Amino acid sequence: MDPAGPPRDGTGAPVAWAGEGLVLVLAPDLATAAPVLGALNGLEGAAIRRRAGSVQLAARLGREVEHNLLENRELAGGASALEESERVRLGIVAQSSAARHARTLAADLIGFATDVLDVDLIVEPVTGPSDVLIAAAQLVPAARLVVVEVGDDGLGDVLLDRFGTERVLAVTLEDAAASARAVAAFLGRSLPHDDAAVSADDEASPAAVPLRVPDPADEHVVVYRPQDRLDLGYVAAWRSILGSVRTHRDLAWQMFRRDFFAPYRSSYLGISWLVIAPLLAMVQWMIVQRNGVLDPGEISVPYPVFVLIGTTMWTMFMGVYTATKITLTSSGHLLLQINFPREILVFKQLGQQMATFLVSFGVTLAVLGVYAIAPAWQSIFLPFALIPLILMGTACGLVVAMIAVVAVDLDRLLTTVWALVLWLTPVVYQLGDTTGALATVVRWNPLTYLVLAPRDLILFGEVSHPQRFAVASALALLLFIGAGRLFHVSEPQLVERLL
Amino acid sequence: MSGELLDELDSGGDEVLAPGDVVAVRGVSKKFSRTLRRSLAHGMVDLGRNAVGISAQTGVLRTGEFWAVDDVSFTVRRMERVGIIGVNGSGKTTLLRTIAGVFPPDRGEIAVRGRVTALLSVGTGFHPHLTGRENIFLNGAVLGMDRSRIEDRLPEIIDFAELGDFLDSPVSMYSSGMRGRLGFAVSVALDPQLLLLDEVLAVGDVAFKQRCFKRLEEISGRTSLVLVAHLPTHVRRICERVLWMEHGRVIMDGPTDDVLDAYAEAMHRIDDQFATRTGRERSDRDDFDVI
Repeated sequence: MDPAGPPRDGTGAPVAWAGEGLVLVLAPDLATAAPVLGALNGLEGAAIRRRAGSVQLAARLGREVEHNLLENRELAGGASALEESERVRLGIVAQSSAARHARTLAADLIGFATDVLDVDLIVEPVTGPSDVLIAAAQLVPAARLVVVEVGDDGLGDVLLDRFGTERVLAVTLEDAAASARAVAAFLGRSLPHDDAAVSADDEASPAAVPLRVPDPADEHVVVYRPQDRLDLGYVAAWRSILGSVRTHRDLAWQMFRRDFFAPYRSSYLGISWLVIAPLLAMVQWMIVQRNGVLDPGEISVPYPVFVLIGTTMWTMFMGVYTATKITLTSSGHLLLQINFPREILVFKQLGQQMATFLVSFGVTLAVLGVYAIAPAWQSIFLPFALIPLILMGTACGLVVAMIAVVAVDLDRLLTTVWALVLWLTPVVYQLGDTTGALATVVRWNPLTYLVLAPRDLILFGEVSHPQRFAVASALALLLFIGAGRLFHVSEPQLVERLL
Repeated sequence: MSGELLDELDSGGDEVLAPGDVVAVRGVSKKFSRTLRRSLAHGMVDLGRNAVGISAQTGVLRTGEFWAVDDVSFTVRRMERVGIIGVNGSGKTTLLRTIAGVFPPDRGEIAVRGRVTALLSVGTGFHPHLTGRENIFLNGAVLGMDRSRIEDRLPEIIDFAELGDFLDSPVSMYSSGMRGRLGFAVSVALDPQLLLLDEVLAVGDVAFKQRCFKRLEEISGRTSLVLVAHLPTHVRRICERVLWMEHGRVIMDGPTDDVLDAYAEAMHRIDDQFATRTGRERSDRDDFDVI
């Protein structure tokens, strides 16, 4: 920056401002001042005809002045430039949030504004301690204060009590036009027209330079340190995960919609694939069974119904597993560009699988109807019987999601293993149908009981091995909690391996 | 008194971030592996260590690793516009990603105030089958905007991106320029406290670049900016302070003109050496700043 010349905009050309009213912003915190600038836009004698240019210029000037003050108070640049322009009507001092030095800084700036620049009004958006304002008002007795109340801290009242209505006006940001009218009346000026504050009749309309309303998120400080999540215990990690899912639920919903519906847009049959897919799977098993390849043993319900319910449960489990395991690898590009809670992706994938499951379960119920079989009334407890299966699928998926980033080989190997696990789980046959070593494996396979429970509940109204189901469920829950925490702790390191 | 003020600002007390600052980068380093297999092997070890509750070895270099960003410290004040320049591979993008929180630092710490938007590549997160309108909402949500805010900003975004009749067509039908405009418009409309831009202005036609510059100037009263660019013209036009990075380190940090002049001088020297070594003609000096 050149302190000797007039302020220049970013192109290097001097900003055209002669003959225009000017709002001077001397502020380290312009965000807060922006709505006020908008509100005062139409004020006679202080009209900001080119709002964008003026605000921007003032912002740069403000920063320049601040720097100069901090360094050696060489105000020549800003002052001489301003003297060339018309008399400055408004000075806006946005308070620095740096409470320790704000008083000094504000006093310097206000002194500068009033002495050098002939400013006759100070507008102070209030976001912090009142002592800065009080100090400012004491320092510059001629200054009048317009207090823009942003918070609910009653600072306007404090200042009104202290300096009276002649020197202080308190307005709010809620109704910018009304505030502008009040300020105009306070100054004994008039507004050219009431809706001036929001008029869009020149190149810098409000749409072009949106006014920013102070947001508490602007003051939130985040600190990144190496391995800063490792110290999180299970409770803290899960609290953090659920907290970010709650705050980003809109994102999860948007992503769910994108990934659930968008792929069908490029297919002729569209969303009806959700219904066709489970029906085709059922037909496939029926063909296998009718040709005598598969002997499901004696079952009291028609085989299509039996196999359809079994495969619906298995498909859901595998769907949850597969969807979760590609969480990181399938979103590599996004993960490398934008920082957002990656757990959202897991929950989005789960939501997608649940929606798919609901549709295929609807098909299952329709098939039950065709065979005139009514599900047992105990089916109302089905969601509870399904939760352990979902937890198990997610836990396995999360572990593989992490491994898949650093060891693709293992992921590929596991894909083959899962095809085998289908036969080690009584999905298309009954639990008692196997013999020998296979029977032992099936008996010890926790998935056996997690798949059996929901099927038995629908068809027979009971869980056939309640104790084993309880043990398998507990195992699923523990795995889920552990895998979730490990994912939360490790994903920041894993993302960089996606490069 | 000015000295006292400066001291007071610099001391920072026990606060993580001094009140006037938007970003504080303190002794930050980031390492990568030279080969993919080595990177995955180290990742496997780190994952295993985390699984048993041991910290991954972040602070030291293991076989095949190098510091992509090496002990970098600086702060960005509110509304300050900082450029980062340096040749390819000097660690600019990695530094930006670390500030954005995409990569965790391997040493040191970074404190960031308020909402940060990183525009590291154009059109990130756009789904080709969704329409422009749908992608605006999706992209906005990915960048941390809630629905009502996006709705407020929708006219502004549409206006800037000049989508016209294409607003309700799938993004896959868009030209790369339209995608670029849309991505930039959404990022800037988020109204972040800090905007991180990486070479984004390098894409698109001249008119688009001009609009981007204009936009960046319009929001300069509200937003701090860290801009990574190869071209000095971009930095000169927008930034008031520049960091020059080389081999992961900041070798110069100062007013734009000073740093760019020194950078140009260094580039000319490299060009001279190249010309002497290969016997080719030297580049035109004026080309350097206006490419």
